[in-house]
Amino acid sequence: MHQAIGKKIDPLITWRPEYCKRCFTCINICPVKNLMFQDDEMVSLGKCIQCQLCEKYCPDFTIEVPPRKEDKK
Amino acid sequence: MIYKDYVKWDRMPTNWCPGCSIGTVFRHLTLALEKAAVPREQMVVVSGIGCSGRAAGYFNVDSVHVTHGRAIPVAEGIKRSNEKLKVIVFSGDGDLVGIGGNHFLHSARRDSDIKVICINNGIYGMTGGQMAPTTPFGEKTLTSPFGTSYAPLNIQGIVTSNARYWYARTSSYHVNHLLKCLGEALEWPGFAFIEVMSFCIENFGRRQGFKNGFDMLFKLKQDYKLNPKPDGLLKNHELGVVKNVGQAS
Ligand SMILES: Cc1ncc(C[n+]2csc(CCOP(=O)(O)OP(=O)(O)O)c2C)c(N)n1
Ligand SMILES: [Mg+2]
Repeated sequence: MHQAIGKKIDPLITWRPEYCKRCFTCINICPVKNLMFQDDEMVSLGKCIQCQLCEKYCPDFTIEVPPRKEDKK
Repeated sequence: MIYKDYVKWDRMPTNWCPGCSIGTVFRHLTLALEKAAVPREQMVVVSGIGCSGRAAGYFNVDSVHVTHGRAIPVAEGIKRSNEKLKVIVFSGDGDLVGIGGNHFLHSARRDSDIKVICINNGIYGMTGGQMAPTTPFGEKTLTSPFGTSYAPLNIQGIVTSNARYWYARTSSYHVNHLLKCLGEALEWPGFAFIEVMSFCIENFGRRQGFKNGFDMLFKLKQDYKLNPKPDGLLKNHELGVVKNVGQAS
């Protein structure tokens, strides 16, 4: 079986509600306070700087953010 | 192979509590395996009992979930019967250095080629938060309501008392360091022990007044400092790697 597909809550951010335990770690680790919950759904305020801290600290493979273009090289 | 291939997705979500950082360590281990390009058929994960011990079941590779405290001897047996395998032990502090302490002592002495990842949350997490041999001095737990009166076990001291050793202390907050240590351990030819300083929110943190898992995560940031080039052994509250390539005499 494969990983759940998840939702695009932002052109950059994929969130998988099936795996999310609502621990709020991503929300508190985000340096620009981009993420928040609205009625049990995660929303993005469109400020993502692609630092990927939410992805790194998420214990449940819930959030995914692609790396910045210049970091890829 | 990418890191997602090492995860058993039909078992997700894991049964770890919200905010528990065992998942973060689990994720970084899959990333380290991807980096080291370990084929799935040539590795085995062994876990004992405890919350951390559940990890073996979430790996999409051959894995064994053994009885309490016996992860290291089972891993050593697997390694001895098939030298080609990369054998990883993923378990908790109570499991590896509490009930399994004697096995740990002797596998370290024999320098058997296994990689041990120990999630040190300083508590018997799964059974409700009883005092463990790793509980810091003076902490209140379920079985020490006035604070423990014993000093925690010196894991570094046990590993480094041998002629040849590899020991790393890292934390689940310092994820880049954690990834580096995991990668280095996978390459080390011999007994590699990684102590990942972690926390338990539900059965330990709440008793100390923490409200959320991330509060404890940020406390790790305050408590531990990286020491990239330790002079001798690591001091308390220092993270880093100590190793010695010496020969057993
Ligand atoms: C022989 C035996 N004794 C005791 C237990 C009860 N027991 C289950 S988990 C556990 C503690 C595990 O602690 P640790 O390894 O630190 O894992 P954590 O839950 O903290 O990750 C204990 C004592 C058991 N399952 N088997
Ligand atoms: Mg424990």
